[in-house]
Amino acid sequence: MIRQSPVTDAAFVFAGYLVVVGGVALYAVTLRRRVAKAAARARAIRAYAAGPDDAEPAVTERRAP
Amino acid sequence: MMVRQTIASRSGRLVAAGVALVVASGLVLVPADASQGDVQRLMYVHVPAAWVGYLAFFVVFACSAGYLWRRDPRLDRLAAASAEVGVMFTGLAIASGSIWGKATWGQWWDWDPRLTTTAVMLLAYIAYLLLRQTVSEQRRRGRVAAAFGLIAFLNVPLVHFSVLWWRGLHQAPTVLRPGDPTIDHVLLAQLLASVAAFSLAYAWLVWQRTRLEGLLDTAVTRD
Amino acid sequence: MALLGDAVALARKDVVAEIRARDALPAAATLGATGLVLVALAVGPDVGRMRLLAPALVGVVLAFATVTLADRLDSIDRADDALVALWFALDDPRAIFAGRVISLSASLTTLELGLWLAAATLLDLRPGAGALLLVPLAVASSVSRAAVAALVTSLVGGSPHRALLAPALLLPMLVPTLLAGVQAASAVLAGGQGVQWTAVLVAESLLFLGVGLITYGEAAGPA
Repeated sequence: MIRQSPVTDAAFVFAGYLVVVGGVALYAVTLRRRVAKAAARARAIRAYAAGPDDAEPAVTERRAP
Repeated sequence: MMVRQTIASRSGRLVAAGVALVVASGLVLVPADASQGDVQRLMYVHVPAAWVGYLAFFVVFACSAGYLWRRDPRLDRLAAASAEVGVMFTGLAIASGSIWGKATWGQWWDWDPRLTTTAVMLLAYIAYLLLRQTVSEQRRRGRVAAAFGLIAFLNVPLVHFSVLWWRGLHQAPTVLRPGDPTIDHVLLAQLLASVAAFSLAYAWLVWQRTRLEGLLDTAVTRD
Repeated sequence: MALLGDAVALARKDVVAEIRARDALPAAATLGATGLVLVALAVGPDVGRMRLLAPALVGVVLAFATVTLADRLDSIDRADDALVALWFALDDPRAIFAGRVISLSASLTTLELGLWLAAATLLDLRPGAGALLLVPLAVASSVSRAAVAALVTSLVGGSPHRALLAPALLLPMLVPTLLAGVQAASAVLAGGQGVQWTAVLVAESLLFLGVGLITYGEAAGPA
């Protein structure tokens, strides 16, 4: 096993924590944004299906069959 | 709808606070390891990320079996969500393990059985997501993904036992092993707290991802 | 028993088609020979090193050949909607899966034994009496490869993205068989019997066959 200097050790530890915590946080933020967008589209679709107004049918993230 | 958003938002903050707490204690409060020094602190993010990967892929397996049996679309959505979150955590486990490897072994990657089988497991679940992406019809997507979700799980025990079946650089299990864990009690407590916090983060992410999957399915059905 | 009878009839149909057309197995054999020659060229004129590499080389070549063979047989069935007709004509559609496993196993066993013969000649392997042990080893690993390949190709067969999906899904799932097969063959070539690893191969075969039989009727189906 290689022993580095304390400063190098600390740099590796911070890099590791940054990758994991940063990765999870980035995924969570992106996911929240995607959910909010999809919820808004679902509301628009419901409004379009329910009433005779001019609401546009939503274009969804997933390709329709 | 608004109530659900509020609950999601508040529980999300609570989970984030929990993760922040274990991260802070892993970085500062817990004493350094006698042999590896401070570098060993990477264990408190690397092991939980890997554990959550296993947990996520077990959920994919269980939901796949359940879907083939009951044909409940919620199980299919849960499997899809769990696979995506599991791929993310396994990727992070590999990345943090690589950093730990550079610090202790002197190299970013080694063709060690644990590392290699983990990479293969990651590829199998990326292929699972790819398969879902390419089938647009909901029921067919659910069926083919469930069948693949069942066989893909075979990779998980292979990863776990690879360190016992072959010799490599990666250490053998210290907690999930027969007999007492070979780790100091304070470090073990920190590790278990990290595992719990990451598992909660997984549950929250899967909840949100399942919701997204449901919203997308609803939108496609009604379009 | 009806399932077994139908499966044998369908396997015979595959074998007869292969004997008449002579395309899939020669293509896989050419792929295998090319792999053998290319690796030998890349490694250099070091027979000792090539002898050590031989089991891994044969295993990797077989993994790629499995993708080619399984895809070829599946595409023959899908031409002119023959698969749809078979699906509705049979009492139990799982006979299609079982028949494919039998015919693929026969082709892969032939190919594996041919590759061992080529490797023995080109790399000066001297397995001695152990050569006989390579036969059950080839059968066990071929059944395992065939079972997983028959299931996975049936899942992606109808997709326009099959050329991408088939190797992406199948190669990671062939890894457990590759690992056990290489370990068993290495043990045999080193003068041992490789019983433990052959047992692992048999267990993998049974597992893949079981999952295939359980899920095929539910998951595969004509797209």
